[in-house]
Amino acid sequence: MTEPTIREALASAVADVLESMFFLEALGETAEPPPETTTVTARLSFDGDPPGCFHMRIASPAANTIAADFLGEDAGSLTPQQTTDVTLELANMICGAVLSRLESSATFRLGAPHIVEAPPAQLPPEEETRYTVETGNGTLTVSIQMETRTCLATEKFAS
Amino acid sequence: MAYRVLIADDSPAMRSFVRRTIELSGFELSACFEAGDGAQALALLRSEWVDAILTDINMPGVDGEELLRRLAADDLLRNIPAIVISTDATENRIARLLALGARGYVTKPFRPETLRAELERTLGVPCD
Amino acid sequence: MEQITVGMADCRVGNVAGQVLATYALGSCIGLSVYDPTAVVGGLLHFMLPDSGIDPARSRDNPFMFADTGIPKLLEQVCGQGASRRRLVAHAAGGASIMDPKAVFDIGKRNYLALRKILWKAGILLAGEAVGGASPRTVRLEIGTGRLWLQEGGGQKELVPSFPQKGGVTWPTGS
Repeated sequence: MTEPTIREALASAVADVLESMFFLEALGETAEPPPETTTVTARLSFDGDPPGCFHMRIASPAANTIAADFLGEDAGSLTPQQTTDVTLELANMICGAVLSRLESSATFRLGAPHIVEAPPAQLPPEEETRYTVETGNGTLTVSIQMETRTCLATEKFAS
Repeated sequence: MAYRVLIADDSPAMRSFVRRTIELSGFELSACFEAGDGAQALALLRSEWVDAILTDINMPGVDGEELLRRLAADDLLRNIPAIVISTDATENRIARLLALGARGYVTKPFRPETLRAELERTLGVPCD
Repeated sequence: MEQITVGMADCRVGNVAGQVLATYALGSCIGLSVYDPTAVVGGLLHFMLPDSGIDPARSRDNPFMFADTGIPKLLEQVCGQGASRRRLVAHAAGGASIMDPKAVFDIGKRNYLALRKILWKAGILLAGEAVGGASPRTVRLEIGTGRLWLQEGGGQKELVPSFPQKGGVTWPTGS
């Protein structure tokens, strides 16, 4: 799987998910936030060809706003659990959208997303693909690691 | 007509979104049941009748595919229309689930209007 | 027939059969039409920008300039004339990329997303839309019948026939 194609899939999936169900326009690629930024990180593993794992790190203010918009509620009335639930579902949807774009002969199966205490250490570019976007209330970073670096039917997506 | 629906998804957030969409679509709901997985859905269906089932696929334990298989195998339950809501947009998966008896398929992410259209197609246009 | 023109950053409500609300030159702006077929009340809002936070003073002078202040006002006004929010049938037109074909600063798209978010929070789904693309649009809402006309690219078509009808009519979505 070529690097630019996975990156395109990440960008496209993030934009599609944010616009469809969160009424948010991804405001362009940006730098990752500094480590001291208050963020929430979700992780999920997936089986497939190849298997791997996916992380989504989102600035806390963005997570609150996104959760309120998704549920149709005011941000001030949400419980922390509601924000967490929406954050996990956002990660689930972005990951699913990415994997559906990177179609292979096997069906991908997503594991349950969960919150991790700290964002994972950044891996070398040959081991993972990362993409960060500005949401208007903070950044959102997605990263995907494939366990086997095989070339799949990427031309279908790239064309 | 007031409808009874069952929403099966392990995400409470997605269940809320789907429920809100159904309510805003003009369908009067007399009951809206929620299940966190296929086993809970089947247990509920032993005691409650519903007019439609909206189900995710990736759920722990009894997943959406297995739920569809068990519905299809049951004389009473097989005629309840089921709409799948899933992140998997691959043709293989969609074809397989429709072959298992799903009446509709909505790919996440989706606009609420898309789910409304699928509900109207499956259940008929809501009566005022 | 009394034609009531809705200007840019403007909103009008009609509750008399024979009234027609019309708004023109919807480029990146959005025209939001809402209609209650039971109460025979309708409203048309023409807003220009998504978020009043960029100019709160301006939004106090004219809430209809912005989606987040204009849409709640529209709903308040139609309900004040006897409409029920639950019965409202909503359509949107506009959100085009007129001045910026490459959509670098896509105000049209931002207006459209703001509209969808605010309607979702207000408990309303769009029954139809004609958004995006690069052509300006004109919309007319007949209060007596609920008929909605769209003018685009030199042609005019009826997008919503006279009420009563069951379900919504989906407009072709602009590319």
